[in-house]
Amino acid sequence: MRKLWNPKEKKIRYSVSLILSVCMVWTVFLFCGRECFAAGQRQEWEGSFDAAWQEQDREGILNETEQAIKALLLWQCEKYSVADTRQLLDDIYAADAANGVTLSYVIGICGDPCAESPYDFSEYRQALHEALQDTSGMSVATIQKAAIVLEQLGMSASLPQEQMDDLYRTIGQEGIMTDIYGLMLLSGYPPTRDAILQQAIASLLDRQLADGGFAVSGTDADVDVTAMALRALAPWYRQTEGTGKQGTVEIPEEYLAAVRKSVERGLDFLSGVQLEDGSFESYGSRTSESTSQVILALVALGLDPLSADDFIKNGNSPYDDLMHYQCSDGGFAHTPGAASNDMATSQAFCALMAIRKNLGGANPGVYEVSAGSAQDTKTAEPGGIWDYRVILSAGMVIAALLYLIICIRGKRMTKKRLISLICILAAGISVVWLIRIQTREEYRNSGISDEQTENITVAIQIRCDTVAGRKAYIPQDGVILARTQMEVPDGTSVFEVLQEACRLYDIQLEYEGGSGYGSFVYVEGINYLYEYDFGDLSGWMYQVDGEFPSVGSGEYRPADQQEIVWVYTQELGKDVGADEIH
Amino acid sequence: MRYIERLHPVTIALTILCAAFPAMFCMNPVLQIISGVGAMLLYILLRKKEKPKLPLGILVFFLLVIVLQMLFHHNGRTVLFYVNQNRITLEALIYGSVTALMLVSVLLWCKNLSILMTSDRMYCLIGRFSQKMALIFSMTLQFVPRFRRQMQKIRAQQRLLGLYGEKTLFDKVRAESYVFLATVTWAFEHSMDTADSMQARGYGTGKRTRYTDYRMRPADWLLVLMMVVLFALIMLSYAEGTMSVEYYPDFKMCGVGAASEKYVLFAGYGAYLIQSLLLPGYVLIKTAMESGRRKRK
Repeated sequence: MRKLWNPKEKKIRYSVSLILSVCMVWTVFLFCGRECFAAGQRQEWEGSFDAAWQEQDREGILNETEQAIKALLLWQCEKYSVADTRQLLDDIYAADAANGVTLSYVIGICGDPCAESPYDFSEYRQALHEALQDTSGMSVATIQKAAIVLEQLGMSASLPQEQMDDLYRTIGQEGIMTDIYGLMLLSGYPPTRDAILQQAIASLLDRQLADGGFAVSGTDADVDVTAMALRALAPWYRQTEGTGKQGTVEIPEEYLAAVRKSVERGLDFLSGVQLEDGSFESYGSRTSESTSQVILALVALGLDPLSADDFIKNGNSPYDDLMHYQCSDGGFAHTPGAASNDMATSQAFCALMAIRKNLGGANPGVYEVSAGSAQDTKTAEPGGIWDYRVILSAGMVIAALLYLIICIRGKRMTKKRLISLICILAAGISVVWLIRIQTREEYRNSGISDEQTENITVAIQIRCDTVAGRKAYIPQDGVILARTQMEVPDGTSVFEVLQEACRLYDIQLEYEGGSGYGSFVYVEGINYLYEYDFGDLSGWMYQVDGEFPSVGSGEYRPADQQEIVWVYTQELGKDVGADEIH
Repeated sequence: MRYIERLHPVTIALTILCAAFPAMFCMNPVLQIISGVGAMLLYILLRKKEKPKLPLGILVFFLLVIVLQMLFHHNGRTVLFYVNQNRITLEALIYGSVTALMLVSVLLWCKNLSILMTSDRMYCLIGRFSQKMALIFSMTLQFVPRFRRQMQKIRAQQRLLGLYGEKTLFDKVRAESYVFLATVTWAFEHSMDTADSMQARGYGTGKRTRYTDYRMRPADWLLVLMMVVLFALIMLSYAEGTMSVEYYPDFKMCGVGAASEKYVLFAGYGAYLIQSLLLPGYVLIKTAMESGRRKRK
């Protein structure tokens, strides 16, 4: 009888190798596909706006808006290297409470319709309140803006009466911005100041130019200012439409008519200057701030920036245009193609929040962003049944079994073959399980997941003051990671804390040696800054509570509440205060 | 091949060394690509008459260098993925490919040189300084292939005689060691014989004439002159720093940014392009001219 399973026969050999290669290719594709899915998510919502617009897919746009907001907040967190938005608010914003940009962010956050926003504004509120005690050096518009924020945070009553009176008196005194902010300030207060209000509205209406726009000075109307003025007038415009908010201060009929006419002229102006791609020009160049302000004005006036007929040019709405300014890092640029800009981002944040509100989004999780856990990615659970390593191992086992069957059927099984087969299989599987391939998102989401031991809190910072700003990629202030508190399991080594911090804040790290506790490990480079980059004696050292320990970073366990600092030295530690050379 | 054979050995050596030298230390990707293309072209032209064979070994070596570079260097801003918590970056991939290209191109240049530098030409080059050295050179160069051939002969003979079993690993090692010993003994004897016979013929006692008459023809002078000028241009461009490249943390051709020196940059690249393609180009042009002449006839 002819041997059916002669492994030496060409056909059989070919088919076995074919099956094997198909298995391999399949696995590789599966892995790549998953990676592309994770990486492509961002592009997906960046690129598909036009399509989404065509379908009027409001659900989709809401989703995209929320993704954009998350990316934006993540950018802020990364910029100030803080762990989450809560910390951003408490540490960063509170430190500079009355700054114009900060105020915009806070307006964005607290302007959210859902009451159970996860933030505790008390610290920030306190800081802002203190900042308003001494207003010397602040412009009137900023003070007014700060007062609006305070009011939204529910603390207006705590400002002294005379200070409020002062604020009202300055309305319209220092340019159009004080008119606008003053009006916004007034619109939220109880109706006891009719005279001031009427005067303020009249003052603002007086400033309207012939073409319907507003300007800071001169006769060339500016989009940003016009949009802001319309926003200030919005409560009374809505009253004429019968959609006004409860509690808006009543003003006489003739004022209402004037406001209505003025707003309509302003809208005509804005619609007239909108460009073909939905964008607006300010001082000769297209800016994201103009678009943001127009969106805010439209929402305030009760119009939908996604579907208001007058503001869709060539199928492009202001919303479409705004999205073009978002950079890959999540922030928004001032002009198309530029880098992320704080001012532009803060205004885009407000605009996005307004759109989200308009679309009925009320998911408080939208700013539950933390640099550590990028919750917006829904990648497959690593380690699940479809993990590529499981598939690869299964493939190898199947291939080995096939080979075994072929050999046994062909009566060609020898002891030598069996042993070598088992050895190869074991080696292959162990290699697959030892090498762990992760995408960027998976890596950032994976952490020290040892929950049985008690956790300790340590603070870590990474500094390179000795060589600050010497190269393009070294920070000017020498701070690679500002002081950050981290919760790690008890018994973690200094190196593991560093590794964890680098994982959380996406800092590059290269080391030699094992990464477990007690193993010898040597840190070669952090944040692209390597040993020997600045002379033969340069490299990374660590100190704990100001001391330079004489053991390797993989063997030193920090205790609770200890301060770890990684410093870059040029002279074996002499320049950073280490008295001994270890 | 024919046209290269007509050239003077000095021209050949100078041309190849001048082309290989910048490729040895300049990590510029453009320069490396040019170098690789030039070396490959020449190699194919030289090997045209032999069986066309894929340089599989070179390809494997090329990929190996890239993979090792990516696995052991984690510098770079663009992360592709993570392996065991270490980032695998695009910059390491670029750096690895340029390194691999550099190794491969220099390897190919050296291969070309060894194909072109027959013992006759080697003698012509070195013989005028030291005849002893020339003899040593030519003996060493032919040593390895001859040694391998002799080894095969001895192995075949032993197997034919059925002297050693080859079933187990130990048997194999023992058999190979005997073969190796016999070959080494033969090699010593052979070189002694050669030296003796050369002495008996009066080698090294006076001025020697050569079998082939090499003369510097106008084509040689032209090639040498071009080589020197081009080499000077490349070195100037290199010294100006216009070819410098930064790989970490961002891949950047920083020489291109120095706009005022752009002409030096392009002069350098252009010179290198001409230089590395000079020999293969010479052969191709000459062949084209020859076939055109034949057609006209």
